[in-house]
Amino acid sequence: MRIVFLFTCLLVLHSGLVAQDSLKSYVMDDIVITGQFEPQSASRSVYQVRTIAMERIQSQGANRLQDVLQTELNVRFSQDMALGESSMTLQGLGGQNIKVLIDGMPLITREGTSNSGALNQVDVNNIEKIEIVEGPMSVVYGADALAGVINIITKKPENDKLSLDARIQEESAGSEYGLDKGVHNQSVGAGYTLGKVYTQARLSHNQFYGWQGNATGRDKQWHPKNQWLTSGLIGFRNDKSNIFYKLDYLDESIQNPGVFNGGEALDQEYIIKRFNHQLQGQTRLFDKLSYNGAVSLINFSRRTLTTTVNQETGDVRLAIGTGLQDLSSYDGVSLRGTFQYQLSPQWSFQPGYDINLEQGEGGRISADAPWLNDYAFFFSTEYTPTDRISIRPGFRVIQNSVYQAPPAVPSINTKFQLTDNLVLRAAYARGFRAPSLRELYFNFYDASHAIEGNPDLEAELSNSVNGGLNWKLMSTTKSRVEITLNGFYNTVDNMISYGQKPGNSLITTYINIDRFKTKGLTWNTTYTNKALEIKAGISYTGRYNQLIEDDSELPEFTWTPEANLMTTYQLEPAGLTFNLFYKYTGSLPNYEVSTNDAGGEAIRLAKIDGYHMMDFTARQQFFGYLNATLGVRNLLNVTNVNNTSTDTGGTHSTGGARPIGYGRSYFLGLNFNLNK
Amino acid sequence: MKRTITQWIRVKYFALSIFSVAILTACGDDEPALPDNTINFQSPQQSIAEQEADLEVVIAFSRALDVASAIVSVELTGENIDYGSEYTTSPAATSNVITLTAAEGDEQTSFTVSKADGVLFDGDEVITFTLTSSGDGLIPGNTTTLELRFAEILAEQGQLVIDGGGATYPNKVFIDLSANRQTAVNRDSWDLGFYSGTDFKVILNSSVTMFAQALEKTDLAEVTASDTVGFAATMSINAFSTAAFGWIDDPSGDLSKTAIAEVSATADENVVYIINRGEAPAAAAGAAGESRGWKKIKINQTADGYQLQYADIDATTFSELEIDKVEAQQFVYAHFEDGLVDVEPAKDKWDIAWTGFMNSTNFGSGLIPYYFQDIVLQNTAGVETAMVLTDTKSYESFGSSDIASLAFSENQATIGSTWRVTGGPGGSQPAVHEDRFYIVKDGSGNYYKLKFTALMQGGERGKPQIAYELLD
Repeated sequence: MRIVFLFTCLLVLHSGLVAQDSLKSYVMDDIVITGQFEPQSASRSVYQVRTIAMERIQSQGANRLQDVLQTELNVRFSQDMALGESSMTLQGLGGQNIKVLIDGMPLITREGTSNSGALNQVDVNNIEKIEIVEGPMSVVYGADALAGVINIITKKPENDKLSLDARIQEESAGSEYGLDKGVHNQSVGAGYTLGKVYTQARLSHNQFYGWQGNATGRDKQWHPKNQWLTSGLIGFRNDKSNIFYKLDYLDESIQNPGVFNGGEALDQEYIIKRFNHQLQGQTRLFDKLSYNGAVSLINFSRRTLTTTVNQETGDVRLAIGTGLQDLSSYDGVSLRGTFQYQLSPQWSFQPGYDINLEQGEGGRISADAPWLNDYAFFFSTEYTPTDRISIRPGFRVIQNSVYQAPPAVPSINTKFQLTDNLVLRAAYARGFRAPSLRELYFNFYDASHAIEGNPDLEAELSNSVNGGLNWKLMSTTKSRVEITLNGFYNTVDNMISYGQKPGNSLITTYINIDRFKTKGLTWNTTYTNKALEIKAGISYTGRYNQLIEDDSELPEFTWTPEANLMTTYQLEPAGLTFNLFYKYTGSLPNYEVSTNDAGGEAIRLAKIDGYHMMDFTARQQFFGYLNATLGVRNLLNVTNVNNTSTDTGGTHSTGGARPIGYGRSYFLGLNFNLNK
Repeated sequence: MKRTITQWIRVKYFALSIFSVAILTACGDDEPALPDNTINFQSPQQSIAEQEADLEVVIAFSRALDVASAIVSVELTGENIDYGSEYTTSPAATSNVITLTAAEGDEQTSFTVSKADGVLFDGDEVITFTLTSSGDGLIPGNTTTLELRFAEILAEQGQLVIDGGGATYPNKVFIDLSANRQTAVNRDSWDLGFYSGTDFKVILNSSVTMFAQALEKTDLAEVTASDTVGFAATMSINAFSTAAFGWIDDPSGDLSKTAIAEVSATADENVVYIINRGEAPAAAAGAAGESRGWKKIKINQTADGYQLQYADIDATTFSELEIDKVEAQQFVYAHFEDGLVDVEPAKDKWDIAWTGFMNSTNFGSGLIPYYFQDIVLQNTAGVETAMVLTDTKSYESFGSSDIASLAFSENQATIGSTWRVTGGPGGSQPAVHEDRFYIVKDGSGNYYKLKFTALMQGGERGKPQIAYELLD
């Protein structure tokens, strides 16, 4: 459900729930909106919502969302070094199962609608907060909200007449730093309010010059990336209604320089341009009935530009090989609306509609790819018989013009306030992942492959059980201790995998064939007092071992532990804050079939080693409007981690060291913020 | 009120101006030009053998011609040889210049040199051809002269741009190092190769991903579609299965490990094989290759070689083809529609071949057949190769005295894919390995050192380049 977050902003400002002092906001209950009927405090929500506030992004000196999210439990990133992109897993489920939303509306990336690839294409300077809900949210958010939802709430103008902010961050990439090395980021933003009209604009520039690492010559292990991000917003609000139009524009270039070979080098550049228009509105029709509506229009294009560089003359020419020049584009239109009706203190209803239309065209997308039209209606009810019990059943019905969507998706979320300090949440939901445009319509042929999309694909379906206990061990005005224990179990059926095209064995296509499961436990503790906040957690995630279907003696799950620690210590009078961010990502085991020396086959256990990521920052405030952040990212100097997989058979090899980071880096960031 | 509107407009422009700055920054990139289209002889030196009446000389373009037409002029000068009385060319030369016309889409042009009837050559005759001028989108490249000798040569050195046919790699190219000669054959032009040696062995055309599976039946007429249930899904390059590995010829070229068992002298012992003829080269780069269909076959011995019986799977009658062994050929080739076909040069007239090839790989589930582009095979009739890493000895400094330390291999895929990398998840691009070169011992006992100098031209695969030198 997309609730107008502006309301939240207003609420925050007017009610004074959150004071100016950022630290105190930790003590307060977070206001959450993802999946809620109305913005409300996280502890009242039937969902377990994790919130990452702007302060956290700033104190971590984050340049991209990955910097922040990779410190979270149950989250794991992997890098595609060739394309300079990264993808994420949540609860052991891949990025296509995670719905990434901007202000409640979907994004489009290279693969089609919303997946984790979009996370690093969002301006971190424009984020108010990030809300993460784990577990299926398909009733409210539809396709791909199977592992969970990441809703990025952008900044909105506050009631200040004029606000100005600027940020500069200079950072090394490992030990590399200079005019054409390291990271150089700038951002400038302004907001202006005049009576009922408000407006805001921002321009950000993120320049990463890459990192050489293991690469030789002109090549770089981490590819240079240059992003320009702009956004503009204009809105109108009164007592009953609020409406705004927003345009976000992204211009991204990732460079993949080649090494000289045979007298020439082959350089690739991936150029992404994305326009994201959003029109959102909220109005209170009657006392007990309100409506939220939104329309978004996204145009995304990705160009692959390949050139050859002559080693002797430096002459740059267009390359002529197969697939080396490509322009793919996607258009997406989303319309979404929800009505909130409160019948009585016990009963609330939320009917809603969600229409998503998308189309792709370009090099490898088959020419007859039609528009993918998805029409959905959903209905949730929240029943609160007493203050201590909330029960929220819901369902969604879907009609899709191309693939077989599940006809109806149900969910039930419950929350029981067992004692004043103990809350139990339990939920069951079905989730689904839509086949992506790639899986439906991409065709690819080369020496070793003939891969065609399969327009007959069905959605992947999941059954999911989530539950958690939240215990406020101690809660005084001075300090608070809270423990949360969560568990999840997901089974995915109808999983899309490669198979032969029926009737033409020469062609590989995508078919609904596999099954997958994940389960896990997470334990979190938070301790907060006036000057100190400590958050510590561990998790243990099991991933289904598909080889058990060949050898029933193998374990059904392989397990990965994770642990994290985030500490903030504030030296009150000096305005100085120290932050430590730490995450241990345990080794990822995987059973595989290998060939032994005698040519026989054996199942063996391979694994990607675990690693520790730690960031440390110190933040000093000057004159109330200037912040300086000095930090060390990747303090433990992680670059690649070992991977014992023997699958090193060429292009699709999953063997070999996995790139994690580019080593210990140092940064200095200056934030200027003026409200008048 | 008026003041409000003015301010409102100001607000709007403030927002718009900031956007436009960034959008403008993104524009105005210069677009790089296409690469020059260069023209070259395939090698700087060639010979026309004693038994040959004529020779086709190919001038290769680095990419397909993108203008309506172009003229290529070749100037010739003879030494100890006279145009007209002792040799002619087609098209004919005017004032010692041959004028060739190329049309849009052409990737090469050629002319033919013919010996005049009844003329005896001493061996000291040489014609030098020079690409003198061109225009209209064609620019002379690095190999603009060709020395044609009328005696067998033992090339001291050479460079070749292999005529693989470009992005769809439609050719298998046989290379004779000592003669500086390459012979390109469409890899779609044959199905089976019949061994001319003592044994009765049959090989599949692995360059189009053929498979063969034995049935228990020995009578072709008894085989129907019901004998092949499930074959389409399993007996294919796209099955990516270990089982399918048993239905291809071993990539090593070892004739004891072919998909089709040794042909018995007793016809009743020869079983029927179901053949997946694989996939033809794609019509255009990035398009799918067409299936070449399926056949059922049975092969028997004859006094002079083989008898091939073949038919479509559900046919009740079958065709027959007699294939006699030919002493000079390692294999005699047959095509189901075209009958006997010429494919590889005589067994002492080629050393290595560049081709697409069904190799093996392991993606974590065991060895499976996997198609590789840019594979280099060696002639199994006496050619041996060894790889040398430049860490051990540089290409330049490697001499004949270094040969003794090498272990030579007869495996046809010894060079295989080891000379190049195709790029992959690490972000690397397809490239030749510059840290290695090869020693090729040809059937006559000559040793060449050979290195691959390019995998791509202008970013396009399918026209790799080699350089080699005789070790003496």
